[in-house]
Amino acid sequence: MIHVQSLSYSFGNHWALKDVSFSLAPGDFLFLVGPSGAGKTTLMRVLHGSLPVQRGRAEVAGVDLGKLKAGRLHYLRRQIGVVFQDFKVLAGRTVFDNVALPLYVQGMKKQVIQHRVRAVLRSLELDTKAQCPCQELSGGEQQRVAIARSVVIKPKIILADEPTGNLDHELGQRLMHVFHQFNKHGTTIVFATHNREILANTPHANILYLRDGATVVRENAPYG
Amino acid sequence: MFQFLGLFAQGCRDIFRTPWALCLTLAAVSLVTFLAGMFLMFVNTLEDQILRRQAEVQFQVYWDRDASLEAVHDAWQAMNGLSRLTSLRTFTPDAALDVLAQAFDGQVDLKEFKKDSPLPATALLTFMLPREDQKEWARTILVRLESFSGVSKVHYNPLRIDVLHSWMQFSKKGFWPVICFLVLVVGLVVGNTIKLALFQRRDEIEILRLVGASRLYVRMPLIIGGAAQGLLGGLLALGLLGLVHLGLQDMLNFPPLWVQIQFLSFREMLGMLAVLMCIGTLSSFVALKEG
Repeated sequence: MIHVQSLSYSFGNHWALKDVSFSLAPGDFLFLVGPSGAGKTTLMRVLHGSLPVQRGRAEVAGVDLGKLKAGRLHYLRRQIGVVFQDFKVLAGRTVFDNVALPLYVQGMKKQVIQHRVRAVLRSLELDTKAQCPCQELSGGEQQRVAIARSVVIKPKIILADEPTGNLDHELGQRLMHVFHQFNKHGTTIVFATHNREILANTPHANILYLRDGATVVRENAPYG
Repeated sequence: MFQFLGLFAQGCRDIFRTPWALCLTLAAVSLVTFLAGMFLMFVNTLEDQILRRQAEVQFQVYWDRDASLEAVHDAWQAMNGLSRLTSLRTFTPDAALDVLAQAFDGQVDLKEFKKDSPLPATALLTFMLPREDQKEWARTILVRLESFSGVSKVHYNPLRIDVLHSWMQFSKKGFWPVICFLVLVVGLVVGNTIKLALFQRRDEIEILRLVGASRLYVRMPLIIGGAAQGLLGGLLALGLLGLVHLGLQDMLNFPPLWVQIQFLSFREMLGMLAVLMCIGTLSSFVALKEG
């Protein structure tokens, strides 16, 4: 599902990624762990096509990112769900509109959108807040909206960049449970965090430790 | 198709999401367009006056003295059918002598020449000049008149055509730089508004891109917004011009001026709106490329 080979990325003279390699099969769960500035977000952005492949090779959902034309990028992104630490929800719009956004941009029919969004909101216990503007929600609820938006497209891959970073421990654990559920259904998940406590509850996950852009340790655990 | 229409509607709706920016843009576009419209009205009125007052040219045709009167009469008849001819005065040799005698107020006796007038048959033709290519037209008429049987020479005053031509050229040459300048100003105003809209909506655009929106999906509403702002600004400016014209149209319409200020033609109004929409679209496109 994701193949990264000798991937390096520099911002000017500073190398944010140095020769990173890993491979994920469908349904794998990968933790990217490392302190701030280790290169986790840079790696996520390269995998999402927000940054170009400068050196090495990165293949996501069968697409070679180095050869992907800018005009075709949106097709790849329609297969990838993204969740960020700062939520990135449209504060003035309702929960329903936020979650439905990826389906709107794909031009899906209204009935399909209604059906899918309602189902996802139910699964994340947001159905009672569907018509609330996001600015009226708590941080945890806004993060659940972001997760709902990322899974409503039934993605092959979810890229989660420190999604629990702004949440308290209990809320973080609850959100981790949501990610586990989607992972169990076959979604590949790449989860960046600098919080090692989260790793304890996901024993089957692969772990990639990064420091200063380079792979320090790589642990592979059998799936399931 | 439905998505396209949806994006179109969204583009029109979105411009009202930033009402202050919209008001400022519309004010700027309307004022610049108003200036352009006033200038166009001035040019129209100027051209109208030039054509009305100086648009006639006279050709004097002289026949050979020995030309038969029958041939001369045939030529006069044929000349009557020439296009743009407004009047034709003809003189037989005797009639020309009478006119000459009248010019001397009877102080000179020309009766002795009556039997064998030394003057040739002549015709004085007055034409309305065309709006375009006056010089070329005059040359064509000259050749046509000289081709009539028995015609000895044809006189006309090319200076009059030169003066008219120069006025028309002046109004046209002055017109385009001013219009280009105003178009540039409109483009900059709309472009900057779109940049402002992009800045205000950068989070939304970023999220749209993250969730897989195509370039068209992100850009089209903003481009439509630019075109809509151009159109709205143009309509406002035309309304303003209409009001001003209503108040000023007869301001100079009194003796001895008799100048009626001309409003824009339907074609000019449509052209103005089309140009504004194009500028709005283009400047939005450029702003998006840079943004």
